[in-house]
Amino acid sequence: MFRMPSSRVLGALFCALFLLAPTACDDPTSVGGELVEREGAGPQRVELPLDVDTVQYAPITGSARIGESARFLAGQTSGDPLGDVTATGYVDFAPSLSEIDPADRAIDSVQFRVRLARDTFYGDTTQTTPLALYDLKEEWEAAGARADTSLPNTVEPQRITTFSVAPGDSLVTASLPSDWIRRNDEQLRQIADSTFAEAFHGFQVRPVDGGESVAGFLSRATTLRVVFETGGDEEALEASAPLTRQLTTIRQPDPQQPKDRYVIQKGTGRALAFRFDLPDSLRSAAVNSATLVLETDSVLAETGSDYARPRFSQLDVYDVTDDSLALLSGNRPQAPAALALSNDRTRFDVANFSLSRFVQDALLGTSDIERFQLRPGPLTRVLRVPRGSEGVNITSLGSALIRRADGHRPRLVLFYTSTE
Amino acid sequence: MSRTTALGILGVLLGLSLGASQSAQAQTRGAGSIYSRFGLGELHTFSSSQAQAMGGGGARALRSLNYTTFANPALWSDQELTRLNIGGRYRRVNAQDASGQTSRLSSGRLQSVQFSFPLYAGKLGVGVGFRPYSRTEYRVLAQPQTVPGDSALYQIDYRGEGGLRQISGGLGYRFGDVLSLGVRGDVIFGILESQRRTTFSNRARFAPTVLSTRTRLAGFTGTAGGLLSLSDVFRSEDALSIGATFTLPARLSGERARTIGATLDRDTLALGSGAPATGDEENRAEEGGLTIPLSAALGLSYKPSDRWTLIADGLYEPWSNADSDFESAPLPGIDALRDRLRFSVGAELLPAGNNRNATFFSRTAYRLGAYYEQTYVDAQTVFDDAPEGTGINALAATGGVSLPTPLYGTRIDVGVEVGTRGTTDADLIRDVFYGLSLNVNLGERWFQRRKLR
Repeated sequence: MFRMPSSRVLGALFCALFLLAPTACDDPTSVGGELVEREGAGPQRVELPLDVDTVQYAPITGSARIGESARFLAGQTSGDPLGDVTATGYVDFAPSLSEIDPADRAIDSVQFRVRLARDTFYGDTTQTTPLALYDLKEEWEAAGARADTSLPNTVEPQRITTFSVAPGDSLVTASLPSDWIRRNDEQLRQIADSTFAEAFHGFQVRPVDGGESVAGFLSRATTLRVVFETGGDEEALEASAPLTRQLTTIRQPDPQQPKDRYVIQKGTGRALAFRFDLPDSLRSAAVNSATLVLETDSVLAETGSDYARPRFSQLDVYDVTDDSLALLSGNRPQAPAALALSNDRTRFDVANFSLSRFVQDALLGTSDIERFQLRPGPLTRVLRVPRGSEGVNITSLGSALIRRADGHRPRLVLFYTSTE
Repeated sequence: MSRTTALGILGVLLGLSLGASQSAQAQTRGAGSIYSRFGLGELHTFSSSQAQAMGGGGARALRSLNYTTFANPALWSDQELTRLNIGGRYRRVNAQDASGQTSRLSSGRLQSVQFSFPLYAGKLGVGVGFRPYSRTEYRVLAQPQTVPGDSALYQIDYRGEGGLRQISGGLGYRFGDVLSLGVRGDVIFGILESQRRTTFSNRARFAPTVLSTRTRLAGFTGTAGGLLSLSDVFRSEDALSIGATFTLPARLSGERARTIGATLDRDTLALGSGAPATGDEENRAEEGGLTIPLSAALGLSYKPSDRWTLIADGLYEPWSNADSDFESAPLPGIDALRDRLRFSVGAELLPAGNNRNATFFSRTAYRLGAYYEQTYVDAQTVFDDAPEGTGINALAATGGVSLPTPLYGTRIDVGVEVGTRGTTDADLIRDVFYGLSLNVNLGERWFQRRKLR
């Protein structure tokens, strides 16, 4: 005899059926596509030239913390197609970490020792870089100081000595003259004492006329070495004072723009600014992909193969509004936005930030970014400055030449989907 | 059951209805016919689970003590029991084009919640219900193609979601033995949403796009219904009923907005080509509305005995008069709809008749029906330049069983539907659809004082 199943069982059975049924065996295809598809519904590609301006800023080149990557520059160029540069280094020393007691020993010699940073040598490599040392007579500020800093009354007019650096050099030693040693005898004897830092204010490393290159030095390896005379059978006694602060001031009074090139350069603070020049026809487009393309060129006809011109591989991206300038955020926290060189090193087009998002905001009119600025990178650290956040680079004159001839101009490659 | 309890259930019913209406996707999963893209979507005619299995029409003259038919408010005067109906529906659509390519889509959803009760049994009844008015539920997955100027592939997924719903409420009153009249108010509201999702094979380089166009609409209309009930017409103890309804045209007002973005945090776009993007808040959504036409229907019901019920219904809606003033981004095909016609017939066999002591199978009701619908979509609705004469019509058979339960007045209804819609001519699509529905009809005497014996 048939027995009526309970309504609960029936209910559960059908509920399960209803829940599972929609997920079973659905196979959507293009059937019906003619009824919904329009011409141009798929993504489209367009290349839009960027509205580029050249800008110049004063990079942060001073530091009171000497890290591994710290550099200071000194030297000058003449006939540089990018514009002649004069770089002047300022260095000050911390007390020696060696505990010494020179007692009544006389000072035998004092040396200013520097180690060349080969990746920063800039200019004519066939000639040496003549440099001169000058005393600094008063305390000076290095932390956060910029390349356009002036220290007019800080430098003693009397030159201490000169020395030269060749591109192939490693360690370079400038022996200080005996009269300078005699004048500073009291301070040098206290080289391991904290009073040394208060009494001695360091050197200016200035280019000597006639130089054709700028040398960069490893700050961590720069020392002031004092050697005391040996007395009798006593062992030699010496102490080295490391750098405690540094600054490089850089002047480029007449920057040049080679034909069909934009110049981006560290040290001199030459950068590019741009805004998206977006046509009204794209105002309601949905952005699928956006890529900035800046073609680079290492060749300059005005300089031969003996002219060293360090390049860099990354541009840092800033957003600029009316009253602020700040590093743009990258995709990852703590990693500001940057545009890196492609693998074949022919163009900057590898972004680590969501450019699509910014372009979309610009298209929608919801962005408050006035324009973007591209500065040389990479960063060694980020400083908070009154107008926003700013990056600090390794001090150098590294440069990039950005092509601007027709067909090679900086551009935005956009893949978008029309929303009409 | 107390009056307080009844009001509580009524509150839950309305809350459920309103809550479900907050999201276009709250009640639905899956997809269905491509023709639901046009106009307001695929129009629904659910009035009761009994009528659904007997041709799916309105059943405007179908008198029953076990069901409250929402097609004709005059029928509410017949109520003896307080009723609650909750139903769900699953539908599968196999779409085919002229090349023979097919697409298989399915959807399931809550179909209706209806509550009704007699104020004076057999004389004056009240009905309140929530049911679909239209559904948009299509999906087309285009073939992958190469991104222009790149080696990546992209694929576009077209989807339609949402629909309009109606909350209805009204009264039916019987004047003597022959005439019943009823009125019903319907609030029609909901969101129609069409999406174009573009995805890419290279997800690292290309961001997907979801472009959505949402139309939020709401409006009010009213329906008047009449019912003539005749007995001993052709034979002794037979019953013939003639029902008619007239629904007023209605203005549905709302706004239409276009957004991009895959998350809730979408960007709203300006409407209209050449308009500024989003700078002007007023451009982000277009205020407007549309007019839906009147609806006139006539139904016949004949019961030669207490075992058989035969019905026939006809419906006319002049959608060619539908008018929309969403100009910047009009609803697809809204200005090229044609008049809607629907004819249905059905039969029910209840072997036990009024014998409550018969076996289970004898007390089970068996239903069959069929309908033909000239939908409001034709080739010109779909393609601007299509020649006249190719319409989208549906022909379907329905059936079902109504299972008795130990509770007097409570039945569980299972319905099925098989049909075809459209044609593969003129670049159109033919749907073959299968439907399955489950409804629970609870009936109990409420609000009636027990008499002392």
